[in-house]
Amino acid sequence: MPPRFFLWNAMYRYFLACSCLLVFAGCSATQKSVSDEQNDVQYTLIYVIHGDANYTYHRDGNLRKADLDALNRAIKTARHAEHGEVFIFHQKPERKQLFLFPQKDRLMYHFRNGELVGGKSYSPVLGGLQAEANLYHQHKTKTSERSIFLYYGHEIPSKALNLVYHQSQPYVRLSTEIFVDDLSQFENHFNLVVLSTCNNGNPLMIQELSGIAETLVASPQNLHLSHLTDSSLQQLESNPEITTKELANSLAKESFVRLSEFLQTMVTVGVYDLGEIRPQIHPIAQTYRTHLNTIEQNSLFVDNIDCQVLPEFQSPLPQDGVTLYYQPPAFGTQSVTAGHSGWGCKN
Amino acid sequence: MKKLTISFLLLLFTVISVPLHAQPDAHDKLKKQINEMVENVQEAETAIEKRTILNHSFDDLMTAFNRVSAMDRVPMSDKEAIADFKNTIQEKKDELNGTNGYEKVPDSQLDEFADYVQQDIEQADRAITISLTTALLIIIILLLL
Repeated sequence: MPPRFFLWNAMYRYFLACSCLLVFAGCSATQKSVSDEQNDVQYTLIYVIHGDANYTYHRDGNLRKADLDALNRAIKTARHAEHGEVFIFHQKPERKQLFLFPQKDRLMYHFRNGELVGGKSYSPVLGGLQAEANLYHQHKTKTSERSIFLYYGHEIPSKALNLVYHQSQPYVRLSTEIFVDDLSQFENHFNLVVLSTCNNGNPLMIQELSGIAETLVASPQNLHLSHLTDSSLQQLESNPEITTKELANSLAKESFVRLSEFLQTMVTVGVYDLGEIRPQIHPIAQTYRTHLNTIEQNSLFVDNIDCQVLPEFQSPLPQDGVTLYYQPPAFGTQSVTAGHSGWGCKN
Repeated sequence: MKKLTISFLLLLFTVISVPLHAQPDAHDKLKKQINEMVENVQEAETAIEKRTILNHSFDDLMTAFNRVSAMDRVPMSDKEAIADFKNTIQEKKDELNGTNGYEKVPDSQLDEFADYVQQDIEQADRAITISLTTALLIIIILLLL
């Protein structure tokens, strides 16, 4: 290959970098011009979309990338959020030039009142959400009346297992504790947390989140990679009086209807009223923690079972505060299972 | 000689600057193989053909898993993930043929069953619990079968 090619390649990269700088400079200018509208921010949506792993799936024979689909849907919601401030963090794989220099491959999109007002590329800090929380505080207008956090990714492990979560950072760990600690760095209170992941409707996650969130939407079992649907959040514009619980139920039900239309596998979408569950969660989580210590979990992403089946949970698990949308699988041993407690556990 | 050295250095720089995600993903290839199985089942005209395609695909996967698991250099975590994957495939095969206590999948539901197999594998993220290198080995063996 002639050296001239590399020269042109380098010039092209330089031109591209300059263009990006100009775009972000333009965004910063826009940010100032909309400062008058800052008082019109009634709610905040924070999306974190994990893309640093394989998110390929097929629908009707067509190949899809789950993180890109989730990103497009989040941007659509952000453009409709005329009275909201929306942060979208896309956790893309972090590359390194010469194996040393981070390329800042992760992307932040910042929308206010339906307009894109900023964007930034950044590098991760450890395995959680610290880099995202820092950027949020640098750019947010104010703490709004309603804060909603949405995470799209693979299952957040209960323990920091010695297994890969971020494909480009194989030695960096993620666990429920790390996730919730980092989440509290954004805000100390969320009205709603949505986890579009497998198996995170479990006692540990529910206990950890009950300290900082009012309501949780999560799946106690596997969740298809096409993810939960977020278009219900547009009701924050069409019906600003909607309660968070109504909004959570709407989001869960809409997601369940869409998923159960085409899936042959089990579909479970749970709504957890954490205020109602909080007084009862401690002994349940403690029992589950003890149970986790007795089992050896060697691989990530092993599907949960209904906690109620475990001998440790002989008395019925609380149903007050738990709403589960459930469809059994069309095949397999669980196809004859009539229901589910809404509490997912590893076995 | 000087030109050659500069070219070599530039080439080296370019190679090590290739983005990580530009490398072919073995997990994608594994999922593509399973998608081809689903498409073949749905295109087959008779239930006998559909059942044969499913059985053949399950057998190929099991053979590939067995061969890769037997390799000394495959890490233990991958062997455990493969064992989990193998159990899943065996359960699907048992249900397809009505063995080991399963009720046989009716002829009229074989297309839906193929979808179920694919969705179960993709949504449970089973493919990605196996490292890229091991997944690539599985693909190579599948292509050779």
